[in-house]
Amino acid sequence: MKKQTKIILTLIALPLIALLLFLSQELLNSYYSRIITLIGIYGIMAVSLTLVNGISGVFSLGHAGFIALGAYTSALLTLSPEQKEMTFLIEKLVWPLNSIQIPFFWATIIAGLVAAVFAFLIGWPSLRLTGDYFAIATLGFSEIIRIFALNLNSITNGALGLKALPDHTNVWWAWGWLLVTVACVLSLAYSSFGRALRAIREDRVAAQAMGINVFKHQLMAFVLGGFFAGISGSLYGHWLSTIDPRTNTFGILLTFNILIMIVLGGLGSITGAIIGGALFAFLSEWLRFLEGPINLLGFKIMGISGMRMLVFSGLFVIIMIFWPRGLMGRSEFSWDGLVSVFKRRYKR
Amino acid sequence: MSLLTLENVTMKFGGLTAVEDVTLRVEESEIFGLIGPNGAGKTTVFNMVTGHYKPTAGRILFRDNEITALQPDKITRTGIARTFQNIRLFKDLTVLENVMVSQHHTIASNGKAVTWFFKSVSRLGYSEKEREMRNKALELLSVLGLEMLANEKSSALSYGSQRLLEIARAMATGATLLLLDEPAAGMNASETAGLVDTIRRIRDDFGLTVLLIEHDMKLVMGLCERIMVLDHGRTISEGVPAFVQKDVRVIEAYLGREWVTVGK
Ligand SMILES: Nc1ncnc2c1ncn2[C@@H]1O[C@H](COP(=O)(O)OP(=O)(O)O)[C@@H](O)[C@H]1O
Ligand SMILES: [Mg+2]
Repeated sequence: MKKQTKIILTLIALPLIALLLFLSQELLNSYYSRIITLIGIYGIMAVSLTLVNGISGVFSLGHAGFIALGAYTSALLTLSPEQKEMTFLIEKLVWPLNSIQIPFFWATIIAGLVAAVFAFLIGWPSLRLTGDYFAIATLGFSEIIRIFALNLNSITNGALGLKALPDHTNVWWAWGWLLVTVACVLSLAYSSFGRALRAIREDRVAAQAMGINVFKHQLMAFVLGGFFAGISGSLYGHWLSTIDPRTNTFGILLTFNILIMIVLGGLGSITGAIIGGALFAFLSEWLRFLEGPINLLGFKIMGISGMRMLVFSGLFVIIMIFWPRGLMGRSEFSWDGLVSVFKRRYKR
Repeated sequence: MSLLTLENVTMKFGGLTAVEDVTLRVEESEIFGLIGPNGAGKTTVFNMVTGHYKPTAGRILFRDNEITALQPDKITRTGIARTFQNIRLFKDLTVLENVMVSQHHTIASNGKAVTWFFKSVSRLGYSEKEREMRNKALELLSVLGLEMLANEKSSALSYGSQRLLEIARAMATGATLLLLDEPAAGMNASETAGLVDTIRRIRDDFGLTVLLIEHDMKLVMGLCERIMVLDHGRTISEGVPAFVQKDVRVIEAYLGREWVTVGK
């Protein structure tokens, strides 16, 4: 296929997706359109983590920490001073946070930047560690963030969390940011820079022997991953409308859920990360029925909470048996690939 | 001025002395052989030159600049590149990508990394450089006869081709000194013969200097202009092939003391 054809196809596909999103808003009820928004948010989380864990070959377990940072940062910037006055019961919110309110877009950008700064501060010392030690360091970091969130009363409102966030996050914000994330990560991954990152993933000793400063490259990928994690955190917070540090919403469980998404989709594939995020959002909502009372052949079964995750894990295991490298492996969506899939169908 | 100088270099791993008091000079544009029985310390010498190990004692100089224990990527950027005895290609990358990776440092070093990071993300002024790198990589691949395989995954190549790709990848760094660690290991006779020609040709055409480790005596004696023999980490002989070949200490090291006495 010619390069021009591909560009034209892409230019047709993007408005088409936008149209579908628009129709989904018009035709589906708010429950489903919330799930579609969630798919966008999960997509950003998964793509940013696959940049770090799938492409750069470092194994971070701290993604939820950056997401939480992003969520708190932007929530503190979008809530009105009056709301903050009412919410912060244990201690007053510190100046100047107590008196500012800025638009959602800028709050999200700042959320990304704050998360990126933290990614730099965490990555700088701990990327000198290799493999498992780095994973443990980042895991520790995300727990520390949660513990700070629980105890820094004058900034995070401690255990009470932040409530009644304005419901800014709609399909457009979520999918718009997803587009930005994918565009950035894709063009990075398929540049000389991304090639160097993939080389490091394959063999860091050889990559270094070919003149690549492994530390610097991994740090930059980690910081960019942190930036988009912060962005997704801002969106997620304003989607949930509550940030509760006592639950595991922004804790280690979230990191594991995102890991499941990217492994499901194919570790290292950006397309796979989006598919994994969509599957996860869809399945975890759909399987909710398992936790309500079920009428099975006349037997009434009471809903068992947690059943959903059990079945989900089962599905995950089955997918891993049949697609050990995830649904996409390490390949990406391409128009050529799509055409060849159809050709194969047609020949049969 | 020698191109590469090792001055009284020693490498100890705990109680084990892998390399002991080795002094070595490699002159510009020569093909120098480093030989010795298994475990003699040859690969360890490479690892010290390329910065993977920090010598316990001694100095290493490249064009009279001290490079002892610099980071491996820095050493590569000063002009020394290597291949690995146990092939270490980027398996999931294509043959072409493997070679292009080595050129990355030319755009991403000296504090330019951040600039290029943003250029890659935004794609500004990027495609021209990419094309340049691609063309240079293809040229190197054709020098080594791998151009037909450019878009294959490197792990799909035959053993012999993988060894050649390691050489292409090392050359693409722009290095002037190549360290080849057993480049003929696992090659058949005709591949080995081709390799000898190739190494000579790249030395002549690209103005390179080659330091190589090899077990195949025929290859070493035919190709190298000077040879150093290591045994148990120590230099036991050094000189032109004809001299080393006849040196009693070398025959002893390779075949055992008994053989030498009986042979006499
Ligand atoms: N990283 C290391 N740690 C401990 N011992 C090592 C290390 N690298 C090499 N050695 C030891 O040093 C000696 C020389 O090894 P090497 O340089 O690989 O020999 P060769 O001449 O076969 O290439 C061997 O006894 C080997 O076991
Ligand atoms: Mg060796």
